[in-house]
Amino acid sequence: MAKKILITDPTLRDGNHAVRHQLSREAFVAYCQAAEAARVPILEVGHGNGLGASSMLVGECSMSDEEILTVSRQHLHNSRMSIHVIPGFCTIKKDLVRAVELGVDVFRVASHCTEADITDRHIHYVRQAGKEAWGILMMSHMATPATLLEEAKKMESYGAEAIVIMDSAGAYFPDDVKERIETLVDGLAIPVGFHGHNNLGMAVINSVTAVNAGATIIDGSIRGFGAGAGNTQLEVLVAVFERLGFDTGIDLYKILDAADIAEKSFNPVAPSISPLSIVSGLAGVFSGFAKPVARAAEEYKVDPRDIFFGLGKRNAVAGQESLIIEVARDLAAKNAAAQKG
Amino acid sequence: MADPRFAETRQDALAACAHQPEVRAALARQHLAVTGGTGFLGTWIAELVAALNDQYKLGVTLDLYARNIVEWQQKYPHLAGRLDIRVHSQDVRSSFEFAKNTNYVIHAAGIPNNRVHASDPLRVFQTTVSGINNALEAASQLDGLRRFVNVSSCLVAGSPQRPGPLTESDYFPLPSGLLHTVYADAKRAAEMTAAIYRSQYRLPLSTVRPFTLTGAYQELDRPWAINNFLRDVLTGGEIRIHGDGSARRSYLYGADAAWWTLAALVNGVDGEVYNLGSATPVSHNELVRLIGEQVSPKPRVALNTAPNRQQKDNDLYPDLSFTVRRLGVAETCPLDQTIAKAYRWFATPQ
Repeated sequence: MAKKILITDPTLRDGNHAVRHQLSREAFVAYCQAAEAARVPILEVGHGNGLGASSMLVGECSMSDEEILTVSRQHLHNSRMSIHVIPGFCTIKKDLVRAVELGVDVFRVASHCTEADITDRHIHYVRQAGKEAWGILMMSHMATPATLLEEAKKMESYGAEAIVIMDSAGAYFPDDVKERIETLVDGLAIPVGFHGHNNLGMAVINSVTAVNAGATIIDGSIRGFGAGAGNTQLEVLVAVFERLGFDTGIDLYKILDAADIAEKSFNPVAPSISPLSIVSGLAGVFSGFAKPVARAAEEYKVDPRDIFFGLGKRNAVAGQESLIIEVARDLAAKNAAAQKG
Repeated sequence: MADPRFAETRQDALAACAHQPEVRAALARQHLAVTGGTGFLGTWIAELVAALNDQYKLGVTLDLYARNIVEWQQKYPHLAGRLDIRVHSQDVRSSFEFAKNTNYVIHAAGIPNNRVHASDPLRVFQTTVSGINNALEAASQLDGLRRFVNVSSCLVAGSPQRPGPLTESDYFPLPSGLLHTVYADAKRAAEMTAAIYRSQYRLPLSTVRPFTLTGAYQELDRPWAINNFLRDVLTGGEIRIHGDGSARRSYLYGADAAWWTLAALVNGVDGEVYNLGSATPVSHNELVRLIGEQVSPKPRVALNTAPNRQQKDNDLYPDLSFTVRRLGVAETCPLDQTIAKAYRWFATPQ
């Protein structure tokens, strides 16, 4: 029997990073319908940083969370609707309660890879509401496999029903993925998944490696639509898994159609591996920083690549966008001092 | 006693203690102390003391020691408001004293909730290890102490990974130094501390090792499989089982667990360990079927949400022959009734 892989599609969430959270209502409708037709099992929607994140700091979304969830729910019938939840951005009373009411099926509760403790109350609330909660460990390249397991076990004990590690910076090579996924699969009783980014061109092979190491959940976005260099390209992933004999349950032709729809509707230019994305991957810094880094580089007249490496030295993580300015300012001051000297 | 739930718990308590008149007689006019007194087991012991005094006029008095007592007093006024039950705010991590007239001590303080094991392992370890140290030290000051019962855990046996029941002398490897085994490791250390006090200070001491306990007075958010399944049914959701559903557990009703602990006070022998759990194993699949009988329509079940994983033998239930022989106890609440009672407790608005 073919090994079953559960595909989660964050096109309408991670992809929002690629367009500064400006995905339109029409885009949500068009892609929900296309994904539904292709039998995508789970579709993640929302602001790039998840529920409750729309703000001046990380970017204001063109649609409210309520609008996104309502529109998506109307067009998802067999596909389950998922959201990304980062405690801090997302509060239980203001955001989670309403999300449950609006019919979200899967809550992917995320933290930085060494801070699983902050997910306790959110996972607990979701489970008490009778909904499915997963634990998401972001920037997972910044922790050793043993630390990741320790953090994942925390989420498991809070009630998480699956753990997904995110290669948020697109920094992994296949051996890194294999080591981490094997450790998690061996140490946890719940399913393990992988969410790739393509900064170093490794997203698809890393996802295949994850499956071979025991992962049963893989994230992929249509045309790679996602932060920075983009996510693992969903239609490629489905094709590759089909060739390898894995069962995703997704209709290949229909997901290829969905890629065409995405191209015409909201994603005319697929994310590419820009020079800055490569640096982001090498520096191990969140891919979603590419746009604010470019802006800061222009404002302070410094090399954006230096900003990325500076952020890498400071172990910057998503949500620390203010660090970009700090690093850019330091670099500008250093450059000015060097010119004077 | 306006709340109908408490009428049922009173009947359960009376049923649990009905068949051992000699234990009831031995408890007459005795003063009991329970650490962790507002937890599941402690609350059931309070329920039993209330039932024994009201039904049999035994004149038992009870001190409950716990860290947070206000919420318990508000939730269970039928127990907190009684003159024969006193509640004391006490964190067992600090040294303390029992009332001088205490005859029996049940040390039940501990944090079995594995959500806390992961997030605050230091508190888990200190509550268990410092807690028993302080409780034993306090007990050793008592002139009239008849027995100290240490409430340990079935987890001290390690991970069996073989089918069948666990006896009190079964031990399997238990990895040390890993955070997720902090509770089991701490409970092992507590059993050793208790053994030292029994040997070095001749403290009359026995141990009970609870397996899965359930029923009234349980909190629904405790992360045991049965609670997860009951909650999924109550919220109308799908029941999701990781694995193939063949894992087996057993479920002892709270009233029986509390009575058996009181029986261990009276009939326990120094240094002996008694399993505290039901001897009837039930697979997760069967458990879900039984829970489904409580509701209509039947709940949807998603099996094997973690496929491609090699299924290991996953049994955790006790061999009760030693407990039954030594303590003379018997289960008064069969599995189907235990599940029905647990369901009613959780389904009733609180």
